[in-house]
Amino acid sequence: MSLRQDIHVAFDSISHSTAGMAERVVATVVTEDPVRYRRERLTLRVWPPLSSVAVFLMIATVVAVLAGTRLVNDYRQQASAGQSFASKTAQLEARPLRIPALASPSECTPPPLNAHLHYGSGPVYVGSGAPLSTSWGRYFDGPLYADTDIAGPILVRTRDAINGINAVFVGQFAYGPVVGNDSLGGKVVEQRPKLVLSEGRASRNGNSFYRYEWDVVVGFPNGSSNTIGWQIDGADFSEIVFFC
Amino acid sequence: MQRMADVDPSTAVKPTSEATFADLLKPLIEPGFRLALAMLHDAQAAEDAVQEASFTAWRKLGRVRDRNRLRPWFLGVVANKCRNARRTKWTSDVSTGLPEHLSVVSSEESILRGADLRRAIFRLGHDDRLVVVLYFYLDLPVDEVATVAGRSVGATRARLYRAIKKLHPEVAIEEALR
Repeated sequence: MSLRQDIHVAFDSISHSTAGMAERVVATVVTEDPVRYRRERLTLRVWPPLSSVAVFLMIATVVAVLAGTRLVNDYRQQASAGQSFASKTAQLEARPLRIPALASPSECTPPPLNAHLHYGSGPVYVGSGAPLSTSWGRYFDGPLYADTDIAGPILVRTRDAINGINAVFVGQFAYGPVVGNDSLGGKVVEQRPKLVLSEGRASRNGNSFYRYEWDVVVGFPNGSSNTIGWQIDGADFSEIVFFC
Repeated sequence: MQRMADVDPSTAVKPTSEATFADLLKPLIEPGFRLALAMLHDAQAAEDAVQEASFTAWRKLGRVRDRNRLRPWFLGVVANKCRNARRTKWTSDVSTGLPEHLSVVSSEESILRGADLRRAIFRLGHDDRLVVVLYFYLDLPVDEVATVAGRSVGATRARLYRAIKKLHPEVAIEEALR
């Protein structure tokens, strides 16, 4: 037998009579089509071709892989940067405190003032703060400034040069173990012994005079003198600022 | 598959009268069913495909400019319905149309050979299977097969040759085409 005959036999053997089928099909079309038409108009039918689905899935997979890779890389970089930042902060903490002890306020040398009347010799300057007294002591809410880019963390520590009492910091830049609590403006705050600043966490960027500005709150317990030394350490600088 | 050349785009989409529609479509139902059966290997699915194709025909028949091309146009619609029908059940079991006890018990060589042939055709891709069925089972000439498949005659002939080689690698093309 030829291929044609073979195929005829193969399919005829599973076929069945089509008698009446034509009439049945035509009658179904004529009677049901108006109903189907109304239904189709009311129903949004979306049957994307399989190729479209495959393309969409492929694109989604590629995007997911790229996004996943990016996320993993970002996470690694952040983790690495976080470790690097922490280790650099630890290096700064390891530097000894160089704020000299003074016998009397008269030994205190007033700090230099920059062109904007803020204290210090740079690159970090201390602005004037507004005082706020509590039963614990006095707080000053004031800014610190930087007029240049500073890589890595900036560590700030303070000490009463007369009494040797360490000041505390509260707020988002306060750093180190909690050494006490106080209530400021009806809100309980944690006191910490240090301040860590960075470019990435500045309160404001690029004002008219400085590149970075941080709002900090420093507190001095009752009994502190008015002679306070600030030690500000960065990766490639260390400055002492005295307030007399 | 509907080709633009067969459709008059200026003609409004309007259902043909029932009598005209019946006259035009009835002769096409049987070849449409045979095509669908050979494509799907499932009589019920084949009838469903023809029914769906007929709904399409009811709505679009008025746009077919050349009534002499009605048969390839309708068979093209049926082929599309078969393609969609296979897509919607592409994960379901494939039916060869052969009762299990025959493939296991029967000793009649022709039955087994027919089952083998159906399986071989079923394994072909849609386009290959379409040209084989149209040419060998519906006995359409190559140019009409090309019209249904929406391809050129040359491309259709080449596809037919390749499909034959897939079915019977040892057979000579000229012998198979008889």
